[in-house]
Amino acid sequence: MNANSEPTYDGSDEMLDHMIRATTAPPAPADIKDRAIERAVAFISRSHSRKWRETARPWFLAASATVTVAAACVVALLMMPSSSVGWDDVTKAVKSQPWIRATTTNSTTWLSPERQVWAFRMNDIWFIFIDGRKQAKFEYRTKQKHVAKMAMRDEDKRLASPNDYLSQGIWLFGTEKVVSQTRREVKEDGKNWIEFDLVFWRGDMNLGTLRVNPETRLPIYLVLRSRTDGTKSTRFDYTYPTDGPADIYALGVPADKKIDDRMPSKEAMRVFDAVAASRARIGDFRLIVIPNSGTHSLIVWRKGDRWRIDWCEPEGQPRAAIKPPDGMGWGDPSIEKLKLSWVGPMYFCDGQKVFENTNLKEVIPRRRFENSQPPKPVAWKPVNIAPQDLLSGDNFTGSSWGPAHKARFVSLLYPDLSPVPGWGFELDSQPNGVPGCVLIKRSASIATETPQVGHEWYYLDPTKGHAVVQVELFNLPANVDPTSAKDRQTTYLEDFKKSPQGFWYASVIRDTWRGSTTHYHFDFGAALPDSLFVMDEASKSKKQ
Amino acid sequence: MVDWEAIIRTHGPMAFDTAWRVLGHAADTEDAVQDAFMEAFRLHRQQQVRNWGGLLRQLATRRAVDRLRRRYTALPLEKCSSDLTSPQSEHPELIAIERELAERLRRGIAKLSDREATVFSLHYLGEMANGEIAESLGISADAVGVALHKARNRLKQLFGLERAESRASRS
Repeated sequence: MNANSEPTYDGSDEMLDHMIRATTAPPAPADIKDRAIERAVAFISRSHSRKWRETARPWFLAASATVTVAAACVVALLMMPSSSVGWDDVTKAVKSQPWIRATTTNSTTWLSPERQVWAFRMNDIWFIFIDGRKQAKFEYRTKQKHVAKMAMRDEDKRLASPNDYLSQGIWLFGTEKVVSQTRREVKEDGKNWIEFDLVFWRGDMNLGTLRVNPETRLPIYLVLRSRTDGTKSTRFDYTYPTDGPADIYALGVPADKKIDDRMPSKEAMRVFDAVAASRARIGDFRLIVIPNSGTHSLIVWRKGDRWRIDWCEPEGQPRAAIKPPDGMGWGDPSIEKLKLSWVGPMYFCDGQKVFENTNLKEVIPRRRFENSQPPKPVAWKPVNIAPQDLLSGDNFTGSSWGPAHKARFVSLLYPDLSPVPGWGFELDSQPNGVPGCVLIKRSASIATETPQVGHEWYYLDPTKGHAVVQVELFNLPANVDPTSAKDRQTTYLEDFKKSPQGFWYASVIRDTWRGSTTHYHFDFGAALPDSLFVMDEASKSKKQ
Repeated sequence: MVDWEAIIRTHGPMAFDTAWRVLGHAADTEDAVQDAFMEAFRLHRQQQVRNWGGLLRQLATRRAVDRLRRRYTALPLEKCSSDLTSPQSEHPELIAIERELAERLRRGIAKLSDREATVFSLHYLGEMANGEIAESLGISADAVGVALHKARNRLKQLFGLERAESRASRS
C-alpha cells in the first residue's frame, strides 16, 4: 500500500462510517452459510428431544407438529363435552371401540384405550409406539441404527391412558382441548350427517368441524382450519379397526432394527417419581417475583385452574394512592417495594384459555420515560399459551416479553429430566461437588465446526423433595471428560422453604451466567378472591 | 411447537450475515452461528420467543464478538486474516484498503464493552433498528441510543489515538 492510498484514521464520523461500509460490503460466502444452515437443521433431526418440541407455534401444519396434532385429534374424540344433544352418544360410541385410527395425508395414528396403546407413523420416517402396560415408549426414525426404548414421560402417559387424560382434562402443547361445540345437521348427497363445530382451548388458533355418522354415532372425519388463514387446513379421517399394531415393528419399522434399551434404572425411576410428586404439591399461591435488576416485579396468582400475572413497574415516587391488587394489602413487608409500583394485569387464565393484556406493552415503555402517562384500559387477547403452563411450569415461558419469563418457577425447581431421544442420560447417586445430592447428567451433540457435546448437570436434593439445587450447563469437545470443564454456566437455587402442604421451594435463584439474582416470595395462605380471575367481558369481546 | 427447521432456514442466514460482518472469517462465523443456535435452543426453554430473527441475530452477534475478542487477544492484527471473498472493487490496492478498514473496525469493536459491542454490531453490521435491538436485549430504546453513541465515540477515540501513535512512530 502506498502512502497516497493509506487510509487516514482521523477519528471523524465520516471515517467511522467508511469503516462500517467496508465491513458490511463483502457478502457472506454463500457456500459456508448454506453449510452452517444445513448442519443446524441436521443437528435438530439428530437430537430431536422433547425440548425441541415443547413450545407452541401458531399453526399446526408443519410436519414436525403432526404427531402432537394427531394425538390431540384422536384423544379429542374421547373427551367431547356432553352439554349438547347427541354428544354423549358419540363419546360413548367412540369409547366402545377397540381401536381408533386417524389418518391424514402423511400420518396415521392408532389409539386403544383398552390396551393402553398409542401409536404413530409419519410416512416412512418417524414411528412411535407407546405401551402403557409396559410403561415404555419405542421410537424409531429413518436411518437410525436402533429402535430406542425409553421410559414413558408424562405426556406419553396421557396419550396411552386417555381415561387419565379425561380426568385431568389437560395436556401439553400441540394438542387441543374442546372447550365447547355447536351441533348442527347437514344434508349432503341425499344423506344426513351430524356436524359439530368445535371451539378449542386456544381459540385464536384453529377451528374444527367434526362430522359424525348418525347411524353408528362414530366420527368420520375432523377438519382443522387455521383461524387466521382459511387456505390452511388438514383433515383427519377416522376408522375403527378391530385390531391394531402389536408393537413398533407392526408400524413398518424394519425387522433388523434392534431395540436399544434406554430404560432408566429403578433408582432413576424413583427419582423421577419423587420429582413429579413434589411438583404436584405446589397448590394455590400468590408469588411475588423480584429480579435484582430492579426494573420490574411480577405478581403471580394461582387458584386451581385459574391464574394471572401482574406486572409491577417502579414509579420512583411513593404512590400511596394506588390501590393494591385485590386480596393484597400493602402491610406485607415482603412486598413493601411494590407500594411504589404501578401494577398492571399482564396475563390471565380463566381455567380454559390464556389471555394477554395487549395494552400493557404499549403502556410500559412510555411509563418508563413519561410518568404522567395514564394507564391504558386493559385489553385481553387470547394467546398461544396453554392454561397449564403456569401450573406445571414445564412450558410456561411468560411471553414475548423477556422479563416475564421470571414467572416460570416450577420447571426450574422440578424439571422432568427423564431420558429423551438424542440425549445421553446418567444418574450419579453420590456425586462430588454437592454433598447429599443426586446428580442427573444429560448431554447432546452440538453441530459446531469442531464437534462438541452440550452438557446439562442437575443436582437434586433428596432432603428437599428432590428439588434441583444447582444446574450446570457447559459445552466441551467430544471425548473430553466433562468433569474437567471449568467454564460452566451455573444456576444456584437457594434459601429453601417448605409450604404447609409440603412443597419445597427455593426463595432465591442466582444465575451466574446472566449475573442475575431473583427473589421469590411465596404466600400459600394468601387471599385469592375470585374477582382476580374474572375478565372484563367488554375488553375481551373487543379483542376477539 | 417450535418448527426449528423453519426458524433456522428463515432467520439463520441473516444471523450468519451479521456474524460474518463482525468476524469476516468463514470458519469463525460458522462456529459463532452454531453456538448461537445452541444457545437459542436452551433459551427457548426458559422464555417464549416471538422475534426469532432478533434473538438469533443478537446471539450470533454476541458469540461473534466473543470470538473477535479472543482473536485479537491471541494474535497481533497483522496476523489476522479475514477471508473477504467478494470485494466491492476490483482494484487490488482499494481492496486492501477496504480490508484493512474493516479489520481495524473489528479490532475496535473487540475493545468495546459487551453492551456497546453488541449494540453497535447489531445496529451497523446487523442493520437492526434501535427498537428491535431494545426488544431483543430487553433494554430501552434510549439505552440503545446511549450505547450506540458511546460506542461511536469510543471507536473514534480509538482510531484517533491510532492516528496519533502512527504519526509519532513515523516522526
